[in-house]
Amino acid sequence: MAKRSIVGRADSAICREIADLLLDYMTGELDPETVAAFQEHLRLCPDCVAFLNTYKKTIQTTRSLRFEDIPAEMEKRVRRFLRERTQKDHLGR
Amino acid sequence: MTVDPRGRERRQRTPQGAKGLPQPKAPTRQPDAEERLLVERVKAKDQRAFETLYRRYCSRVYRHAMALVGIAAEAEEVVQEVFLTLYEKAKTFRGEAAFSTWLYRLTVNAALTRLRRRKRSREVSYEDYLPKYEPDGHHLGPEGSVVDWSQDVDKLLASKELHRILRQALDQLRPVDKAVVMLSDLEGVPNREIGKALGLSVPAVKIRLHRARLFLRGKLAVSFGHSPY
Repeated sequence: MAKRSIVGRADSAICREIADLLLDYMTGELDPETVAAFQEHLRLCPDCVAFLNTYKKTIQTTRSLRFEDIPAEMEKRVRRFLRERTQKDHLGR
Repeated sequence: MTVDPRGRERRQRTPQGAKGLPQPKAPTRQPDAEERLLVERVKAKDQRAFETLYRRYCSRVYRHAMALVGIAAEAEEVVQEVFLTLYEKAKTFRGEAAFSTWLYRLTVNAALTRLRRRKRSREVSYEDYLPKYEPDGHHLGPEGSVVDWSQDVDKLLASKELHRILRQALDQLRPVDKAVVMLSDLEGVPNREIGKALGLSVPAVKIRLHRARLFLRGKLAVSFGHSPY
């Protein structure tokens, strides 16, 4: 994995870079040195900690959305429709 | 106590939880070989094989469609279109990708067609809700400007109001970005499969996903009375 520019700069104002790396950090795609720099910056920057927590919470909230299964009547209606269309196609051959 | 990059002493905030979040359950798959066999039979216009695939996947297609288009009548049209396309174009499925990936692609394409027909006024500029920074690279505003409202969400996670706000925000995303978020965060589809379903490279999926999440984060922050930045 390529080195990222935050290595050696954890105590600097790298908040924008930290935000840019959030996705890769959460999926484990950063190299160990960059992870160490990332975590060191979190230790020093409460704003970035707040940002990370709220980013994670956003994802968790999306995951909590629920969508219904296909209603039984709709399932039958679509099946009838498909049967008519495909049998028409089949008979037409 | 620690010393922050601005030289001030600060009590430590704790990053919430472990590095990652528990992943949503990946879509359960029937054995791939069986699916391929069913598709081969559909290519030969076998009605029973087609109905088997419909029974197995109609609910999943419907849920994905509802997640994208949000209107039951349109989601029903998507289901019809997806399975008709499956029947008529089964020959185009060459088995290089998983059947479920192909199904995602059909579903997303059908849903995106409908989303793109809608008035563009629903979409808002992302920039108003993306994080902002000082010239020196810190988050915008004085130290402590970024409010950790994540605990407030926990109390409301099951609430209809929170979900209403989030669904409204999702509707304001560009259609492709909405599809990326729903496939990734709601369905747990890996980025590579999302890319195949949407005709995007993996880096493009990641960029869209990240910016969409930042936008949603900003919208949720505002709903709690905080700055989106």
